[in-house]
Amino acid sequence: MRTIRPRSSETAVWLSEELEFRDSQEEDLCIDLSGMRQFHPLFAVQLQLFIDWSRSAGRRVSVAPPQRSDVAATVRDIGLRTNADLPIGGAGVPAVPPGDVVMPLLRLMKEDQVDEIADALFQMMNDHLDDVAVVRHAVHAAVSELCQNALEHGENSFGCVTCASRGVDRGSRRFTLAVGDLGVGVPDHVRRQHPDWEVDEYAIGQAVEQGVTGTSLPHRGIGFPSIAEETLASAATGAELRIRAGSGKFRRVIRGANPLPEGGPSPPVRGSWIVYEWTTVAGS
Amino acid sequence: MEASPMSADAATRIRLDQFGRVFSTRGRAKSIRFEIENQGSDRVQIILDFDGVSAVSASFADELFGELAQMYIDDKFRAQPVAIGLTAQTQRALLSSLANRKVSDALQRQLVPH
Repeated sequence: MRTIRPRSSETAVWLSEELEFRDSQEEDLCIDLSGMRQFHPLFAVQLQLFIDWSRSAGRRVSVAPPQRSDVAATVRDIGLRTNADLPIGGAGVPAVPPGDVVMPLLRLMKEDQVDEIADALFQMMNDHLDDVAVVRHAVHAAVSELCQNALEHGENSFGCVTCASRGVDRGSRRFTLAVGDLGVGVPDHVRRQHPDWEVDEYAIGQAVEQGVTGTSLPHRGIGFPSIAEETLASAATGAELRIRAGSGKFRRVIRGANPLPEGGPSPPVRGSWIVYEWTTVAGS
Repeated sequence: MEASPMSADAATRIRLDQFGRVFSTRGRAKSIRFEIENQGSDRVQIILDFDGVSAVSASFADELFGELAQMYIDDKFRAQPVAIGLTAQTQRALLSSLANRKVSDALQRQLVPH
């Protein structure tokens, strides 16, 4: 059995280099979370898909729980599964969240499941989450567009995995949405219409900034721009989008300091990994 | 489907809130649009009443209203779609769809009075 100890830090948002989706892996795995200091939603999405992918290849996966009680509670609330399937669709969205995990890990396989969770999450934020309700339209846009994209353009048997949480970080109240899939990836999708865009972070940036689509219909690339539009129309004091796909990464501050996009190369990953974070109350 | 035409064949008014309050995907929009197309194929105008609708995604707005507008512009559908009862968010989504499809400002104001 091979033991993987994912790095734990504020920036352990991205796929730990150890969690590589390499087809050549054959050993059973132990994912050792004992030293983790935080359990970010995007990391949860990545880890869950990695577990699911490993199980589908016949590898047994176990998880050593975090030693810190607060991190262990987050892992429990977020619903990481090692031996069972994730809930599918809206059945997994609680009417009232028990804590800071607003939406536990959910798998979406069909478009009507996106309708279910987007509806449930919007209603929950509207009715019960006063501290983050100001971004409910932006969150609704993000869930709708990102999950729909993952299912429509992802083209893989694992569907799309998503979760959401809220929390306080250095006095700022934040809402975080993570979406991941093991599909073709944003750059390769965009290159179906723009094959000359060989640099992955450039292709990602065009999809985010210019509404470029990989379909043959020019008016279809409205997902990312619409999320930004709803974010700017909201009372969010800050918002940030980060994407990693193919061999590129892209970061865009939608509202806040330094509102310029940043992109660059990154170690290659399978699929697309997206985190959107809104700040509803800025810390002093 | 509720209908209150101004005259026998002039207009049909369709309330979106009979389908729900929050709308998110293209698939959902397509199924609603097909019903609208069937009901309004012989009308001059279809009034889509968004009163009671809390939120629509850009994709839903485009697949429902943007597509109806495009079909009307391309003479593939007789009825002119008009949206009423909009919140600021739903108006934003519909107008963005029309702008993305390069619909003229003048026609945008006819289809989404604002």
